[in-house]
Amino acid sequence: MRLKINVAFCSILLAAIGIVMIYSASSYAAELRFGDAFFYVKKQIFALVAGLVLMAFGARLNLDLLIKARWIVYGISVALLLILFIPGVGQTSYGATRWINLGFMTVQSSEVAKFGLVIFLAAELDRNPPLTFGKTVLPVLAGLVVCVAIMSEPNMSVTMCVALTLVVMLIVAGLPTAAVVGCGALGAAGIPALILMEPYRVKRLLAFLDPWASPKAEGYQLIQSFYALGSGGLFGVGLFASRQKYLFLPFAESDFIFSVIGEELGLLGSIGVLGVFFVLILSGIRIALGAKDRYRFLLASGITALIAVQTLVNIAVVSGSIPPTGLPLPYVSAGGSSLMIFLFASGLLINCNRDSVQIPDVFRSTSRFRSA
Amino acid sequence: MFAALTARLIYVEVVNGPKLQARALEQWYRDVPLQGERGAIYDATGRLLADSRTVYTVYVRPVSVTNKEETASILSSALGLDYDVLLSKLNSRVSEITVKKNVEKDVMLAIASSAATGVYGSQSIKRIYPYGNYLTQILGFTNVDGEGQTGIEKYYDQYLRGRNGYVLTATDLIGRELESAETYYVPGSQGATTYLTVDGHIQSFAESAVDQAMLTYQPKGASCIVMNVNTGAILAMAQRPSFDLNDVPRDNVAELLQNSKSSLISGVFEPGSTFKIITSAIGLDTGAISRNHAVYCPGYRMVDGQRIKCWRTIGHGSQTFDEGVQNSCNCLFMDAALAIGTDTFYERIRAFGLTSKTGVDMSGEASGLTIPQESVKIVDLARMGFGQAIAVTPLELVRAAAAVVNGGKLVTPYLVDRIVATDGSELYRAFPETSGGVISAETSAAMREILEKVVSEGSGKNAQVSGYRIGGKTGTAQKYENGVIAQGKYVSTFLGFAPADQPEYIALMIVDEPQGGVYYGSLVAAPYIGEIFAKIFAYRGMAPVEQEGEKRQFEMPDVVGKSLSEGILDLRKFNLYYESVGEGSKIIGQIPVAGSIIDEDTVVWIEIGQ
Repeated sequence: MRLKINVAFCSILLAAIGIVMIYSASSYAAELRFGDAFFYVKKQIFALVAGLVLMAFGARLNLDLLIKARWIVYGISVALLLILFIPGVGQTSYGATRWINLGFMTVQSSEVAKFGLVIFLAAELDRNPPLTFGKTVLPVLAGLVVCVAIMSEPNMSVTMCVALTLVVMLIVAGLPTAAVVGCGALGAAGIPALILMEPYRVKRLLAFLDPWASPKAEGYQLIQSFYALGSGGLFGVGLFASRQKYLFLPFAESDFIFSVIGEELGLLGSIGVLGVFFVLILSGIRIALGAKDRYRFLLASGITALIAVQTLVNIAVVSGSIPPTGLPLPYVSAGGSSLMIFLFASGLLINCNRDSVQIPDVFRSTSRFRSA
Repeated sequence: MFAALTARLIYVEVVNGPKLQARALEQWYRDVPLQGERGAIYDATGRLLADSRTVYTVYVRPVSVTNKEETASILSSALGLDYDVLLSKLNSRVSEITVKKNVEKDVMLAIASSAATGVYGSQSIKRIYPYGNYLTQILGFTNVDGEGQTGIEKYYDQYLRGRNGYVLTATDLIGRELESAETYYVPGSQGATTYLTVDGHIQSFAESAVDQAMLTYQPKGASCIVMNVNTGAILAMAQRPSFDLNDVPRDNVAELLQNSKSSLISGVFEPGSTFKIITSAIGLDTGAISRNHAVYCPGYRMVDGQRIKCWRTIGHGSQTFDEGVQNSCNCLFMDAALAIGTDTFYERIRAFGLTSKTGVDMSGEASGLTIPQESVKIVDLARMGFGQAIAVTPLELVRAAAAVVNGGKLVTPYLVDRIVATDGSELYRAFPETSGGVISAETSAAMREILEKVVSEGSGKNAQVSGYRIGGKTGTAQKYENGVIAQGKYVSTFLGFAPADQPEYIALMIVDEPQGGVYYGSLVAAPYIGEIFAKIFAYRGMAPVEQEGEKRQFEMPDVVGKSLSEGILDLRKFNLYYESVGEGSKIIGQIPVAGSIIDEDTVVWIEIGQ
């Protein structure tokens, strides 16, 4: 019970923090660009409301139906990714085609697809255990298809998140160690190849090693993030008092929202946010471990792994611990489809824990949807 | 992993924080410099020679201009700029434009109170020189950023320069001022005040002397220096051609470079007869020649088989040493130099500082040029005796001559007396540096006497100031071009000191390539030194030593067409002295022309022919 509350509370808390910080980070830029200081905030609030509905739906969905529908879920995921390649459908910005414009909002296909894959994998890997090497061929191939599709947008960071999640799921599903090591080695070998494929990735890597060498070009983003975090110090410059948000820090409201948190709320604020993620992920792991069946265990593990990987990668980028890559901070960064899908995932996570004692109060009224 | 990230956050936010924040501050604020006011320059009497006035530089940040057309029209009319050009600049995507520099305060205020938007002004300091074309090469000028480029402005720049302040305004990435803009004002500080040794009055005398010389003789240039004989304090330094320091002619760089250098400090010339002061002093001091020495001048000397002419080709006949100096007889100085010998001669001119820089507080000082000692031939030594085959800077010559007459002390010339900070503390004070013993006091006393006679009885008569004792020596050096004598090109000089018995002032006048046929130092340069000394005596209230009646004035007699001896007799009747040119027994030309009103006791010029 406590775990469900933890997941719900942490998710909503992070989304709320996100809305406040998005306002702070984006109001100046939004006023300049769109003449509306609340441009991003409005969209985010809309997504939060929709996301809460999705979360409730996820928490109440009959998970066993998803096992049967796994190919449909997977098919939709791949279709969403492939549809981007139809000229006119995909929306391109910053040199990558990642979004589908629905008119009232844009959806990032990979956000949906990565969870679709997790749902598919959980169901597929659950079939007639124990898992042997041969049985992993299909799930791995399915995962690779998604990876290749996302990679073609291109979007290396999401690809890596998905690949890491795939590996985690294979491990927890009980894949023989040798096979995991093999996969890992294969993956590790793939990364340098992917980096060398695109000159901009090489530049970013070099910029990570010494951002001050190109303070106006590749190193700029990282330096600006450092400036924000460094200015924050222990206690921060105060809520809404960021100086870096005055266009100095690019993507302050999305990928680099954590920099603004660090600047305004200081080390205490950033560790606090990190702590909320920690509780969320820990709860996810405990839900997985205490799940009533192997399928739910795999599903909870996959979702938790995805949240953990994306959170860690984002904060590691922002703090200059790994080379910069564009990945939003789950629940917090501006981005409607991302917030909605993560809240839906929170719902699924809660759902995995449903058959223990009680139902959280907030969901009591709709408890008839509880699965068997 | 969470622990690792937490550690990383602690490192970036707290450990590295202050360093990162310091860097971040640089981008958060747009700083507009406030130039620190440059220190003033005064003369020794408290006359203001260079000062700073606050003017404004007008900037526009196009993104902040809301009414581009109106702002462009206001600025173009207030600042006299082209409307279309300005408007296109305002429409550009540049973050900041410098519209105009050196805008006066009232214009800036008018703009500030108008409807123009996005306009900013930063104070800057404009250098003003109240006397314009005055002490030009010595004062020097600054560039637009207020950095000293020449003269005192350059040499003492570190003292004169003010420390810049800043106005820091919080802006966004592209320089738009934030609404809640915090503005920090860091005031600049004023540079130190510099007091020169130059005396504005004496400087004015020197300035008018060079102006007069330029008008009268249309020479290539004229320069004049007055120095304290005993301390080396420079009291005046004037030079033409020159320019107004408030309006530096930067279009012709080569000419500006030429005219902004002090030729007295940075130029070398063949000193000619003025150098005979040095040869005499060396000769007497070493005992190589004595005042009792009788010298016969047939108009030339045979040296090492080579015939070297005296300037007076008909010869000076038999003379005493003193007379020889008065006549500026080359034969005497050839004898003297040869008697001194190369090694001693070189040793002594080194002691007189003629081969090294004087150490004056001015950049770009040159030093004398001599034939390498080991390759000096006898004929070279003979020529050096009367000031040829050697080149010195005028300042070196003045300093060496000062040592001759001040008792043998070699001074270090200097221009700045003291530098005082705004809080009144003294940052620098000059201590006159002298090294004694270049020649003995006795030799010095003898030289004063001899050189006084040059003015009272010899070729220096035109420098006389009645009632005062002045010593000096004329000089007329031929110019060389590409190693051969340039016909008709002379440097006329006069080096004088006063009072002759106890010298205080030493002055050198140089007229470079006087036009119009008159070129003797005695005629061209000497009168200016006389005039300068007369003015100094009056200004300093120095009483004349002996009262004399008014000088008689009369009409210049006509001596053209007369025989030489007849003509000389005519001149003697009026107490006139003469300089002559040419060979023969008949007078074929004279200056001044017959009928001009002239004073008695002056030197006239006659041309002799067959």
